[in-house]
Amino acid sequence: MDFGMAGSKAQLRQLILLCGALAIGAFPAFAQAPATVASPAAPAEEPGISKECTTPAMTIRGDVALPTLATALRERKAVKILTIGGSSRAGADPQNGGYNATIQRLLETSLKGVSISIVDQGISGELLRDASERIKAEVALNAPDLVIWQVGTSDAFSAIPVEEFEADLTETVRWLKQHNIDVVLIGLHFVRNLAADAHYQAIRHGVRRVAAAERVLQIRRYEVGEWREKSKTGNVPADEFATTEAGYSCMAEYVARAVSAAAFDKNWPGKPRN
Amino acid sequence: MDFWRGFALVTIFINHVPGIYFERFTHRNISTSDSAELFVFLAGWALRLAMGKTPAELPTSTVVRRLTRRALIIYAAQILMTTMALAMLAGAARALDNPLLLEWHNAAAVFYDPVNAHIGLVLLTHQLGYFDILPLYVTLMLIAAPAIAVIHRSAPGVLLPLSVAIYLVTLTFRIHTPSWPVAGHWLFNPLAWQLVFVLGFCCAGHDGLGGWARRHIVMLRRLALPVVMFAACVVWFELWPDPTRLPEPRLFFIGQKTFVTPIRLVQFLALVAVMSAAYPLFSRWIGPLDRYLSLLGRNALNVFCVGSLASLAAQILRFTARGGIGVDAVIVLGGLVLLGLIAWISEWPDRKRS
Repeated sequence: MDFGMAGSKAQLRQLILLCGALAIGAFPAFAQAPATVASPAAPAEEPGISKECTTPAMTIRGDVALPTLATALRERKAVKILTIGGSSRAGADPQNGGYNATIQRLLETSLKGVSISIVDQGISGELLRDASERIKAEVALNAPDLVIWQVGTSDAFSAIPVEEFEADLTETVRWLKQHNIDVVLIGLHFVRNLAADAHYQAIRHGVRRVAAAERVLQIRRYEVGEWREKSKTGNVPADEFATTEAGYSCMAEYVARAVSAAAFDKNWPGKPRN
Repeated sequence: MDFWRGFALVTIFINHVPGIYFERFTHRNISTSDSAELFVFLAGWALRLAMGKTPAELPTSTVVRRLTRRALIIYAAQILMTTMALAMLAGAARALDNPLLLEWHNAAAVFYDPVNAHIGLVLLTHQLGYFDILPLYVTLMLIAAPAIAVIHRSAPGVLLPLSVAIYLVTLTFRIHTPSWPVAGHWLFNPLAWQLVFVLGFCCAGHDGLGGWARRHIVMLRRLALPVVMFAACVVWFELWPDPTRLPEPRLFFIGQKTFVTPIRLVQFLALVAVMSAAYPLFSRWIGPLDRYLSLLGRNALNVFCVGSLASLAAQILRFTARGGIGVDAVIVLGGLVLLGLIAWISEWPDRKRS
C-alpha cells in the first residue's frame, strides 16, 4: 500500500536535487545472466542433493554465472560469502552451526582446496529497505565475493508497498553488481495459507521480476514448497517444510549446489537447450 | 530528562512497528542516530543523578548494591517480555495457521532448537528482534554501572578516557559480542554502546565534561547546529557516500548501529546540544504533551516493556489486516493511550500515599 507519502517524498527529493543541480533460469528456474568470465576448472564434485530434498524442479537450471566468485576461485582459492536477510540465521542443523555452516560445509566438500568463509549479518525480521542500507556498509567492511540474500518475507508481513520493495531491491542489486559482487536471492517461503494472499504473492513475484530483470541467480524456495504441497511427498508437510530444520537443510543444499554450479558455469542435468 | 525519555519511548514504540505509516514522522528520518542513543544516554544521565551524593551520604557499596538490584529487575523484565513475545508469536502462528510466524524476529531457534535456545535466552546470548536493547541495558547496569560508580569516585579523570579507549579498540578491531546458539552477534554491542552510557553519565554532572559543556554551551550549540542540519540533509536526500570508497578503518566513517559509529555518535551529541536549547522554547507551548511524555519518562521500564509487547502485537495486527493508514492510526493512538495508562497505573501507589 502506498499512502502517497513515499512517492511525494521521493518527488520532493528529486525536485530539490534538480534545483540544486541547476544551481537460478530456474531452480527451479534461474534467470539468465551473462557469463563474461572464463570458467575455472570444474569442481571435484557438485554438492549432492539428498533424497529428501529432491524435487523434479531441481533437474532444471539456467545459465546464470557468478563471475566474481569464479574469479575468486581461480585466482585466490578463497571465497568470502556475505549472508544477509530476514531469516538467514534460522534453522538447519543447529548442532553443527546452522544453515550457513551447512552451506559452507557443502561448498568446501564440492570445491576441494578452496577456503570458504561465510560472514553472517542477517537480522531476523529486518525489512529490505533497512537491509539495503546495511548491506552496503557490510560490503565495505567485509569485501565479499558473493552475497546470499534472503529477501521478502518480512516485507510481505509488514505490508510494505510492492513498488517500494521492488525499487529498493533493484537499486541494491544494481549497486552490488556495479561493485563486482555476485548476488543470489532467496525468495519467499511457501505457506499454504498465504497462497491466495495478494500482497504476499505480489512481493514474491516482485523478487522474481527483479531477479529476472537484473539477471541474478534466484533460489525459488516458494516453488519447491509448492511442488511438495502438490505432490505430497516426503514426511514433512509442505508449509512446515518451509520453516523446519529439514526445510533449511534442503535450502542449504540448494544454495550450495546452485552456487557451485553457477560459479563453474556448468550445466546441470536437464538444462534446457537454448 | 523525563520528557526526553518519554519522547524516546514513544518513538521506539512507533519505530518498532516496521512499515507503519507514522514511522516517517519520527526523527530518525532526518537523523543519523535514533531513539536508541537517546535511551542509553539518558540511562547514563539517570545513573549520575542517582549517585550524585557524596560517598559519606551514599557509600559506594550501597550504590553497587542498588545498581545490581536494578540490573536484576531489568533482567527479569527482559525474560518476562521475551517469554510473552514468544507466546504471542506462537499464538499467532496457531491462530493464523502460519508456521512462518514461529521464526519471525529470530524466534526460530526457540521452537526448533529449544534446548540451546533456552540456555541462550537466560544468558542473553539469544535475543528476539526488537527485544534486544534491554540485554544491552542489563549488561550496562550489571557490569558497566558498578565499574563507573567505583571509577568515578576513585579516579574520576580516568572514566571518560577509559571508555573512549574501549570504544576505539572495539571499532578498530571490530570486536563483536557473539550470540548463541544462533551464529551472529548482538545488535547493540555493549563494548561500543558503553560510551553513550558514560557520556550520559558525564554530561549529567556539573564537573568534568558536564561542567565544561555547560560553560561552553553557546559555542557548542553554534557548532552543533550545522552538524544536525548537514546530517538531516544527508539522511533525507540519501546523500551517503559510497562506503567502499571510504578510508580504513571504515567503521569510523560509516553509519552502523551495532557499533554506534562516530557518524551516529557525533550527530547525536550535536542533537543533544541543539535540543537542550530548543526544549525551554517549546515546552511552554506543549503543556499537556510535556506532562504526558514526562509521565512516560518517569516510568520508563514499565512503559518500555508494555510498549515493546504492544509493538509486536501491532506487527501481528498489521500482518493480519495488511496494514492501511486506518489500522496504523488505530495502532498509534491505541498504543499512546496504553503507554499513558501503564505509566499512570505505575504511579498509582505514590498518588495513593500522597
